[in-house]
Amino acid sequence: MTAIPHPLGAAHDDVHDHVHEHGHDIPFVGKYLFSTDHKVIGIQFLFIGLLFMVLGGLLAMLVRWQLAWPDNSERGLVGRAVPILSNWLWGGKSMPADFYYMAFSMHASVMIFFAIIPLVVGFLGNYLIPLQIGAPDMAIPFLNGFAFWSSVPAGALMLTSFMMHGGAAAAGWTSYPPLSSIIPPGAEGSTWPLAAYMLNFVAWFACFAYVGYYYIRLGNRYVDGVINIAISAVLAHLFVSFVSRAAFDGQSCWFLSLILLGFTSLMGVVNYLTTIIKMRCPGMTMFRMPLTTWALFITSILVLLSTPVLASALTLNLLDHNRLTSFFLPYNWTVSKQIPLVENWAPGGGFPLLHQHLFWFYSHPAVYIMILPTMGVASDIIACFARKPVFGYRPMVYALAGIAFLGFIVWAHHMFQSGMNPTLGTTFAVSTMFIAVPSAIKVFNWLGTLWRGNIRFTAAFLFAIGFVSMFVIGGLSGIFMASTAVDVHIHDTYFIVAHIHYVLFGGSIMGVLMSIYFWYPKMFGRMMNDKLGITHFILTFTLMNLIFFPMHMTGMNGMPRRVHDYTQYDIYAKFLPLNRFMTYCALMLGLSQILIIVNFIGSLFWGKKAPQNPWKANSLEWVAAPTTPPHGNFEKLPVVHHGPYEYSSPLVAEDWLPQTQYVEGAEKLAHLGH
Amino acid sequence: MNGPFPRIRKGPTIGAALAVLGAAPAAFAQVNKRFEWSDWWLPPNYSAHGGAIDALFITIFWITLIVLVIVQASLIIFLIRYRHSAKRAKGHFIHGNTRVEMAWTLAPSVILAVLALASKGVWHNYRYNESEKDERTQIMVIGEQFKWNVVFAGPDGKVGKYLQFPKLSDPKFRTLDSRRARQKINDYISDENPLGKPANEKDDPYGLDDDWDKVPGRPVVIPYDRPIDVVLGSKDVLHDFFLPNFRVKLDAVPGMLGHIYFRAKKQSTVDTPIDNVALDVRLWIDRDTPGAKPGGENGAYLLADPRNANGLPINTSQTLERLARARLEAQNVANPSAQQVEEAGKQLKADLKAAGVSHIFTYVPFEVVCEELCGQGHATMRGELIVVSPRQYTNFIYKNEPPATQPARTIASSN
Repeated sequence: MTAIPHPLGAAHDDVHDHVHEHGHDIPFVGKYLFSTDHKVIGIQFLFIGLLFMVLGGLLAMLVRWQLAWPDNSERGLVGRAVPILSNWLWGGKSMPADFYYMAFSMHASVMIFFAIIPLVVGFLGNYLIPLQIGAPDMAIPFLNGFAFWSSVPAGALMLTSFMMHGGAAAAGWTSYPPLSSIIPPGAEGSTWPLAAYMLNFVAWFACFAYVGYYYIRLGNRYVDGVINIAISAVLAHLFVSFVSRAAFDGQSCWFLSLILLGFTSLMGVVNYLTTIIKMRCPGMTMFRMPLTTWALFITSILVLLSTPVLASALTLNLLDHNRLTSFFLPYNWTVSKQIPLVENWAPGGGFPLLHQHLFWFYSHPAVYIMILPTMGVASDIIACFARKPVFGYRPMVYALAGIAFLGFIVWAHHMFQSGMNPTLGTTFAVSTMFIAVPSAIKVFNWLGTLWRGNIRFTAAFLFAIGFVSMFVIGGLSGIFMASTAVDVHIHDTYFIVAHIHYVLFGGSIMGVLMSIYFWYPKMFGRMMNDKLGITHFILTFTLMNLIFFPMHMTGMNGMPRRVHDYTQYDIYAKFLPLNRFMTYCALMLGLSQILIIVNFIGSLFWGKKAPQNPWKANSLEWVAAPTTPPHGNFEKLPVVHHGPYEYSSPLVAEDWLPQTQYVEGAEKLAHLGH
Repeated sequence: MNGPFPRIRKGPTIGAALAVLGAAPAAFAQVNKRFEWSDWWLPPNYSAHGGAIDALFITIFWITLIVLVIVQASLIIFLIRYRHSAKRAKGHFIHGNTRVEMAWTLAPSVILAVLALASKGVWHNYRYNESEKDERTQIMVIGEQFKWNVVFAGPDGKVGKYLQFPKLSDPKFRTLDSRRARQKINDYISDENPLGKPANEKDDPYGLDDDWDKVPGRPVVIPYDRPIDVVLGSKDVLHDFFLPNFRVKLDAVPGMLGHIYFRAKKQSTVDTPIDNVALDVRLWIDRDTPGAKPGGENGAYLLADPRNANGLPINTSQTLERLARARLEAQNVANPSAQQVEEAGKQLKADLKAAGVSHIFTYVPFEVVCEELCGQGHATMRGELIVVSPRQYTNFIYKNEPPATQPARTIASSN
């Protein structure tokens, strides 16, 4: 086993032999705030992801509210305005169109980039990878912490876009040019400049202070602190000034925020890959890793290869938006019957579809970035509670790799009706059809894992089952879109909205919830209330189906997504009651999430003390690391003798067999073809 | 072993779940009083190529439904059948089965390959159909925030060149300073040439007879059961031209032109007895409509606007109500009451019948939906599509003049 030396030398050398020396003498700031401990960073990602998820959820409620009560005074129906916001912003009237477009654009952006990706990649990756492979920490702990702290300015910039005169980005989460290239009159500048400045200043300050905390070492703690604060404040001010030039309205804040976030993602995944390749404990071969780690490994490759393309797409778009270049704007481009009146800038020669190709080259793999880690988690949880080995462990790994590979060559299925060459459409339809094959393999293997098991029902397990069940619906509805011809009718309709929410809500968010229920005892040393968790599951599962399933029907009728008043169309006005029903369910779904908040916070204080291995699971985080794991994770470096899923092995009396426990013949049994 | 695992009382849990599942449709039925089962399926298809798309949709629907039922049913059965029991101390110790894996890899592969081939056929038939290449009638649709511009090809059946705006480098503007040149170009675009027709007519032989309009928002008019070639362009942002009832959709992209081919299999204009025509139903009036013939055959321009007695009105939003109001206005009745309008409408109908107009073409337009987010006014980007008989279309593009010389391509071959 090779550990890459810590850049700061002494603090982490020979960490395995001196685990006990750490953890006691680390000051508060270094232990909980500017920590390099992967577990603390993971939990930081968890909290920040959950906070953004609350924001994204509230934006979703606004979107649903508008769909239930669109402005339809001409039709004589009673419109109902959003409480509080309406009186504050719109004089008691219903939501204006630009606010609605902003709300759904930001709902998607916040949920995808700042909630789900930080949760499934940042939280799961950071917390679980070293624990599951028996490593004391990440390969490059400092970089790991920097990945978190440099994502904070990205988040702050995304929040700042709400403070702009023209509101936040309103061109959809895809921000297709030329719409995203248009700067609406009066959009520039901030409504609350001081608040915007402070927010960004604090974020950049924290980012620089993190670096200074480790690199300013003059000998005296207090002198170091003062110098660090001074340097960080100056740098933060300079950066905020620089950023405010490039990001002058909501849309440019959006671009710049995601470019920054891309860099932090890369720093994170470089760390994951290095850790998984170099720091597995003795005996932990690649094919003895839990599927969660496998999934995170493959996800990291996806992030590593695709994020630079997103960064390039957004950089080009930001340059266009700043009226410097014209990558995506063609000749004869007008806005409101006018050619743009900007000195020293004449658009022309660009191609709008280029952005779509670049954007989807990242964003299609991104949907697998969001779902693959939760697939791994689902495999872990289903095997644990079915008390059975995962059915077809290697096919599961190959299926993950297959999805990842095919994920790179399907991007243009988002563009079947975009005006690109129809022959290209056929090519991508074929690859898209075939990505359903590895997905099907995974589903059948999950069913195989349940078959003849000895199933224990817990909240985590129910969410895992809900995940499988919802992923099946989302996957099957994907086949409709994969067909170029059928896509003619359902493209850009609510059918797509239904599909994406079955995969991202039913998949990724259920995956995050099951991870919280499953690993909470390890993270916080206390058990969550399982009955409350099961109630939460039943409500979430039922309500999400009631919201998202009817969207298939409205989509089949062609009801456009991204339209704030569908009652303008005679053929869609009839869906008003159905939309109202979905909104009632959405509001209830939002309220029912209070259950997990109560459970989460309540269990921190009043939960039962968790034993080391409450679920009788086999993998290292349960069997080798104490609850809660100290800095350095393991008291003694674990040694692994077989795979992580040897539940119900005939070789031992119990129905579980820790990876660290040596039993004659266990490894051989795992490789038998049965 | 039971310690950490909670015991669930099955009865109340299942009961609660069933109650929620049962209450939801009941609540929905309560909320949605206008519920119809047909709303929950594809809207009717009125195009020649759409049937194949629907058939493919239905095929995929049944395949996925069967898979869905099998998977979800086995999931539920496994959960019930293999729930924890004290009798079974352990689960079945098995790591997989290569044959089973092969089976459930190959089976979906075969099905999906067949589906991919099938959709290739339908797709190519829709996008690449060359069989009627020379008979196609072109119609150009240009998206603009937030209305559709429609250009009808003249008798030659082909539209000319559009979306070619002056450049700063043009000889005319090159000598001016940048600001003034831009101002001049913008004035020219918004006042004279909003669709960007080439300045020199020689460059644009097909465009000479086109029917275009400076103001966007005209309805799309197409002939029934004739091959149509929609030429799709955009001036500013991405728009999406979607005809739900015709299974037609394509993005309008600035800087490039798209083509979609289809054939409408349902006519909007319906020959209706005059007694059955409601006042607010829109009328299709052209030179074939009795009572609207130039020269006052049957004694009256009854269907013509009295304020515009010389021209024949092809007004795509004409209704009996409007005509009645115009009449009242001509009689100097200011602010007529609803009752007065109704009376005038009755009178108009009676006059029409007296003049021998017993039937008239009425229509309800199909809707053109913009499916691509195109800015603040996106919701108002609603267009209209009117499918008329080929004869009516000929009248329409000849602006109600008799087709004097036979055009290169005959549209008025039937009806």
